[in-house]
Amino acid sequence: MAIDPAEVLRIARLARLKIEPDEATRLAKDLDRIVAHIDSLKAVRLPEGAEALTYFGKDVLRADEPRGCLAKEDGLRNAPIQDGDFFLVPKIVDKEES
Amino acid sequence: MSDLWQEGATALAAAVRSREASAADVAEAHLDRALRWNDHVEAFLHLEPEEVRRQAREIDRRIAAGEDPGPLAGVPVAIKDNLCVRGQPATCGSRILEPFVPPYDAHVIERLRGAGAVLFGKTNLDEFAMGSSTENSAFGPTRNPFDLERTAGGSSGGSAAAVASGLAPLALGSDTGGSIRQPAALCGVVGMKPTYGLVSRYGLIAFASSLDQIGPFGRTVDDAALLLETIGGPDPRDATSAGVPVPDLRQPADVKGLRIGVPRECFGEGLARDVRSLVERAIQGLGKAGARIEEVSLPLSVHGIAVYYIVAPSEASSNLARYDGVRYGLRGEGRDVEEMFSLTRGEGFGAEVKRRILLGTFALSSGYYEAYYGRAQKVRAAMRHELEECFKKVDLLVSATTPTAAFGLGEKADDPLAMYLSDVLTVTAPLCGVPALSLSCGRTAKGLPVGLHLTAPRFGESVLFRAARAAEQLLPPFAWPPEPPR
Repeated sequence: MAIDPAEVLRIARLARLKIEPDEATRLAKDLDRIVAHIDSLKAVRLPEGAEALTYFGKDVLRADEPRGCLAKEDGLRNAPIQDGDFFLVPKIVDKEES
Repeated sequence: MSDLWQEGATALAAAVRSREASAADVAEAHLDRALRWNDHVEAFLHLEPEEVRRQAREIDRRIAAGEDPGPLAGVPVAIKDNLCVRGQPATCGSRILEPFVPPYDAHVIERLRGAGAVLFGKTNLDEFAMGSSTENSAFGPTRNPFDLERTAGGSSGGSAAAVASGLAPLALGSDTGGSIRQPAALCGVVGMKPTYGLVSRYGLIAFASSLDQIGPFGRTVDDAALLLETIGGPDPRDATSAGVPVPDLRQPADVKGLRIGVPRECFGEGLARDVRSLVERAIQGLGKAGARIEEVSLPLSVHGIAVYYIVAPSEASSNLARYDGVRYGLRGEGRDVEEMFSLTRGEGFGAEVKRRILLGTFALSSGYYEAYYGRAQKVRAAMRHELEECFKKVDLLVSATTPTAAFGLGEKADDPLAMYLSDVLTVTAPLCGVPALSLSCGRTAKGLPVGLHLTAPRFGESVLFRAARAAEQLLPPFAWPPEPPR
């Protein structure tokens, strides 16, 4: 699987990650080499019906009891923009689309 | 006691509890050293002397009032900067979290406070713990105290360098692919990754959740044990906490009758000659002390790097989706919310983090998931089975921790694949969820430390520490790095 700058920009869009075109060229070269290395796994012989690792242990669940949680002001304190009750973000729905 | 900074944690706690030394004097000795050394090694990202003194005075007050603050009374412990300490920055070595101040303590921090420890600053790391040299820190690299032009290793390079240069007797790190053991090896100290699930990760900023574990650094095996005893055990706030208490880490140093396996695959080409000879000498020593040394083979372990560099970036791409400029950290300016997300992340993340987010997003994306992530988790399950079968024949495995001693700063910075390959000997343990420990087995001709790596079965910490303590007695004792230029 070869990775070119256009593929990098496609993945970056999925990851909501702004990448400049010259950065995409450099990243394509790096990722291409890395993917060539990890492609070696395709040649590993595994038994028929081999299962994927999901989790090491058994589930340990805590008692289903109400507990305290972060106070609102503590939760909001690190927000870049907030109004005391909510996190504020730019407009999500465009007027023309609605 | 003179030169308090030279003492280990066990001795310091005993001295403070018996009033032979005050916590204030212990703190001052380490602050004095840290403030002098940090310009050279750059181990700390944040160190607030007044906050350290305040904690130390409180310990002394409690002792004067007849209380016992606990097994780490007055002992300074440096904290990797991906662990949350209420009211202190937790940058993760990233611009994106530069403004973040956690509103709560991690579980391990609560345990340290409860044991009477003095939280001693936040240590440097590769951004989001992604790297093997701390060169990926947005705030500059940590330097190896034994040669300031070389790496301290990574990602917990700041914690390893702090302990090696006497800035703190103990430190916490986190290990995902080798991030405690590799810097411990390169800095000549003891570093240990516990069994997956032994230490709660509540308050550890997540990188790759099926791999991450918090673990101790110390200059001796006993000191590392003391720290693991403090931080380990069940925590209902971490769903992956195994609910298991810390095993007995105080068994006598003795390897008589232990079967120790030497994996053939760990001694292939790429292992530097000077590293190989020190490790082989240490293994011979264990044999002379009564261990049964056997060659074993783990053919699938050679795929560890490929598996790791699919699994870890995939999980990272998911975990790091939370950095979107809404709830904490940096925010980019955008006309709409999606542009705001993209700009925040594009401006806030460094090159290696972007590389791994992209790699992980690719491996998880539609059409590739089965071929990459699915395949990697199958090979990983087979690796785990192979290792479990091996542990039916031997009690422990031994190898070098790293293929070479500390490499030069900048040497691998432009070659991500070469940097990844330096983790070849450490990735198996986290991929299989088992504990492993690195301790120094000597120095190369250039004076650079070399690590001996011991791996045990899941929850095999008792036998791991028992053998490590025995190995420590056979090996050269810790020796201080040269004083930095004035």
